[in-house]
Amino acid sequence: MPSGMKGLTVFVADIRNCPNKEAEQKRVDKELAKIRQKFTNSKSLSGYDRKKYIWKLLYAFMLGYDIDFGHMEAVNLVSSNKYSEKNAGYLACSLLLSENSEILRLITNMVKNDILHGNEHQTALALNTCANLGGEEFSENLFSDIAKLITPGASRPSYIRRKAYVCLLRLYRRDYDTIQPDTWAARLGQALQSEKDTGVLTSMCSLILGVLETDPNGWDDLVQPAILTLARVMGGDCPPFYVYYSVPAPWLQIKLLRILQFFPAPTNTTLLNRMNDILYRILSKPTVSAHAPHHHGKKRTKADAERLNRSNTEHAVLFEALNLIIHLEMDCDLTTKKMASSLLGNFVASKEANIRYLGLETMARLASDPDVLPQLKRHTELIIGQLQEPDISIRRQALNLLYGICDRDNWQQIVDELLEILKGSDVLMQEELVLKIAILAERNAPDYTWYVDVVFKMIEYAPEVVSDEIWYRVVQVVTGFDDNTDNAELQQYAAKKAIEYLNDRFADETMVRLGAYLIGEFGHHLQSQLSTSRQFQTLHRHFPRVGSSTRCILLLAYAKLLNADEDVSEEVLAVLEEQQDSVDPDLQQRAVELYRLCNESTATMENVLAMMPVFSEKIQSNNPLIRRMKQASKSRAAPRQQLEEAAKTEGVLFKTGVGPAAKAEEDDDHEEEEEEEQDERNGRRDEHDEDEEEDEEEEEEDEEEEEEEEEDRRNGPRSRGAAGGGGRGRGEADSGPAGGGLQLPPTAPGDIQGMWKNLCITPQGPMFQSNSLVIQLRHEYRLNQGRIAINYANKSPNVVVQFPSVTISEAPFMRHQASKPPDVLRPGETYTHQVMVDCLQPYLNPPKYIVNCVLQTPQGPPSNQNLPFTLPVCLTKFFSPASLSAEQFTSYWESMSGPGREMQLMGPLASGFVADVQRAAGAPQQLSPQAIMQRFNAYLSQGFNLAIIPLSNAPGVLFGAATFHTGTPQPNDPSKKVVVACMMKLELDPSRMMARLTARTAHPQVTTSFAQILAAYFITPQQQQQQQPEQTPQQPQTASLI
Amino acid sequence: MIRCIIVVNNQGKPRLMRFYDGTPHERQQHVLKTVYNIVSRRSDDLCCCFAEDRELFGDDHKIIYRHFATLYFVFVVDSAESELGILDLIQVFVQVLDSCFENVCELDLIYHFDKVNYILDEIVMGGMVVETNAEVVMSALQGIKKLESSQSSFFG
Repeated sequence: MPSGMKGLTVFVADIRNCPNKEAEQKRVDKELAKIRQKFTNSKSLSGYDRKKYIWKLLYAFMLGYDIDFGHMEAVNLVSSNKYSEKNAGYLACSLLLSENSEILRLITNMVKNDILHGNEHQTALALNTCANLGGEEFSENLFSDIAKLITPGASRPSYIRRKAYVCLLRLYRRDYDTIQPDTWAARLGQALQSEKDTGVLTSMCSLILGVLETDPNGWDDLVQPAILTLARVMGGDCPPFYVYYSVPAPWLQIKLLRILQFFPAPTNTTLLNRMNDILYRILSKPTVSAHAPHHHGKKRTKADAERLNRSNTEHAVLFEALNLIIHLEMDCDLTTKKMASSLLGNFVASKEANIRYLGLETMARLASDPDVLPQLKRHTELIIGQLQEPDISIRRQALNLLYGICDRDNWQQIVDELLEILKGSDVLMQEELVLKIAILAERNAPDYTWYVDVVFKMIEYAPEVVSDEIWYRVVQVVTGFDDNTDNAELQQYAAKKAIEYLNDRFADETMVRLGAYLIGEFGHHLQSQLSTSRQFQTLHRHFPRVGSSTRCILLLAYAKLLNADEDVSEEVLAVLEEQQDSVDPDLQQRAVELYRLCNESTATMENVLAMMPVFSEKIQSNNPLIRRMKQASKSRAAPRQQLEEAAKTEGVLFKTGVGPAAKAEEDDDHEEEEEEEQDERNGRRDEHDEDEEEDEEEEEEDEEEEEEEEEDRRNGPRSRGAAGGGGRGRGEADSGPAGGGLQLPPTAPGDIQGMWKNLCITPQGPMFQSNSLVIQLRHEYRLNQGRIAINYANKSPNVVVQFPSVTISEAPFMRHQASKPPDVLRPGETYTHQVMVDCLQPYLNPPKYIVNCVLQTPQGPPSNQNLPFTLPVCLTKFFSPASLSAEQFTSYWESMSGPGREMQLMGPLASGFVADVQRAAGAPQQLSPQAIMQRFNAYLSQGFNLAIIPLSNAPGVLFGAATFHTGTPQPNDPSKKVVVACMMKLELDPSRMMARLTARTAHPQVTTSFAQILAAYFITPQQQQQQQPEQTPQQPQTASLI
Repeated sequence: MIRCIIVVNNQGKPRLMRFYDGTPHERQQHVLKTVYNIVSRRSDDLCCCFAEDRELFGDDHKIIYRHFATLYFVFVVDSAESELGILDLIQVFVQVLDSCFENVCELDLIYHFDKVNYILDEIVMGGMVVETNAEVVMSALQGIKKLESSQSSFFG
């Protein structure tokens, strides 16, 4: 069958015949050049030609070629009277234009016209486009016209009404005010009951679900119509062609069952009984099951396929009914519930992989119901068996389910099985396993020695995936909580275990870290069995082959051993003395501190190096690992309890377009975080006040302490030991190791620039990813100094990577010092390259980090790669937040205007940032001003280290302040370093989606760099307009500070 | 909602791509490659039709696909969609293609790129399922065909 457009057919055939990507590129480029040429004289083009070219553009667009022209021709086609031309035009607009494109304004009127006056098919096209593009422009201008299409008595064909409902949902997602329950609840309820067309009902239900996802409050009037309609459809009130494999209108049934999951069980008993009756009928209906999976080479027959489709359809309704049962909890008949759990048992054992997968998933959600948990636990063996499945999707679901049904009765069986699986799993699965095993063992073990055993086993089996968070938690548990239990026995046990494992010469680094911590802290319990000197030796033999941060932990452990037993003083002091000359500044600093401390008076030493105090009870119940497990699931059947909790919180929260369940959880998180932040802020402010009262010298001391505390917080338990013992317990503010900072979406593996940009505002992340080599970077900063750990991993099974050179470019604005770069990495090996930096002057572009590597595969010649990275050490890394009061900020801000001190940039919001706002808000269309401001706030405070100043109540403005630290001594007082105060203001114009950024600092280079760095994240680059350019002369990057 | 629909052949060449979640064009090819890598490595006989990639799509998603001869039909959806419902929908889509092209094969999708897009728009609009009945979709297509032939000129 010909496509009707010969030119298009030829073009497609040419591309198909291209032997490789280069040839394809050439062919496409040629075609695009030709079309561009044709479009410059578009007046002489016939509609047919225009349509043909547009289709060619769309084909190239699908192949990934950037199409930045032809938009106007698409608009022209939309106004054509010919259907095929109009269609091409509308589709091109849907695909090529984004919802904020200016060009959309040009077609709004045509869309309106087609909706109101076009024939049925033209209206349909216009509605398709409106739904595909959405956008504020359409929402403002078309909503009421489309709503008219579905008014009772509008007598539009059902084909149009179906599309109109879906269209309304798309526009509603752009503007939540368009559909409010006060007018729409009754209207939709009525329509549900009176509408006869199954297709229209299905679309209507889509709209209702979309609205409920945002906010289920106020829509209770829909419950009764939904139940009645469901009963009607199940009873067969449905035209024969909507009966799909003997199920009447399965999609409609599914949607109605889902609608009911947004509401509490009806209080009206007749309705409730009706609902229970429906559920019973669905569950008791027999289903067909497909044959056993086929062996390779044997073809599926048509009858098999039919059977599979039929089984899909029948089970689709069944699974949705099960979701409703889970949602109803106690309000569901017990017999039905029992039926549900036995059905799920059958599903988990099903021969069909799809049914097994969904069975496992659904059972995991049913597991939260205590009525059926005992029944579900009978399937434990069966579920464990699923962990051996070849399909990772199924294994994941099985793991989730085991986590859900694990309790004190079966934990040992489950944890043992999981540990077995851990040995042979791939990394992805291992990460999930390790986290879940750690939580289950801590929660269920009869005493914590079991838990300690389990964690040691995990480190033994899968050392790479046991994150710091997991062993920090062990430290917390073994140290004990403020609940009056004596942990001495546990501590002795843990220290003994550590010795056992560290007797292995090749113990993994993670093991050494945990071991060093446990032996340093609790080794004194073992003195009667093993001399302190032997303990020291067991630790120290690992010293030469571990990285810098582990060595720091080791040094601290030695000092603690010395504090507990004078006998080792000679050995320990010798090591500390030696490390005072270490090239690694951290290690050197630690060695100097500890050496001094050990030579101090006994009292001081005892105070500082004594055992850590127990952790507060709040930390016991607030396991950070569990928080990591939380995952938002939008619009899924939320157990009623969650719904009710959510309903109690403020209604406003729901306006942001996330499902109730997810929102409630997120909300929890927010509260906790806010609390922590507040604690921190209060803490800082207190100290600040003190500072003001005391004289300068003391102020400096205070600052030092503050820094130490700051470091504590970042480094987790190890330095808490060093500083915490001195009577400065910080109580509840320290809830374990600090989290990961700003959360950003992952970048594509090839997007080096994107990864770099993310790294500039996060503490760690990927820097480079290929099939063989993966480079991750982690960095932390204190004042003018930064420490960067660049981790190289060879992920390939057979490629050897050599590194002829790894160099860091010299720059006058930054001093750097690096450990030995990697030399050669064999498959599976990793290496960490440490780089320390010291910022001396302001700058814009950080130093380059150039990696030259050679990949040697078993076959074929070696390939040489030059990777010119830039260190993600942007200027704002050397910022520390300055929590000024509103008055202080205002007076500084005002004094800081004038040439060279201010820079202002404005333009449309950067598309990357907009996408991130939507992602963070959890809904693709979510772009409320509040969501944007929240994200601004997160970037500024977590990404750029600014303190947000509570200055204005105006909704679209944020103020921030920070101190930029350098290592350059002040000329008039060399004992102090040069610092620069930095302030900024960020304004949002939500109507035009524009942002304006104003940066003010005392130094011209700082001003421009600061503004440009921030703008790179928030404002579209080509369109950034610099305001008052005469005020900000560009300075060379190396401009002197003073 | 449906976040994207990708039809890709056994070699990883795209035959149809539609994104409803505003994925920027420069990222679409990356999504295509990643999704292809995931589904093409899964055995038809041993694996279910569901997969995930949290790194790419975040927490709230499922990759739901079916493999017909040389083509994978992949839908990426959030948890508001029923998994089996989407599998049925893929079946409906293929049924309609089959009735339009009489024993549809990959070549039909390649050379009738425009028609395939029409058909999809009749089934999914803006990421929402709008029609699930093959016959209704077919009758809409018949209507369009009639309209087009009445408007066809010398150029076709």
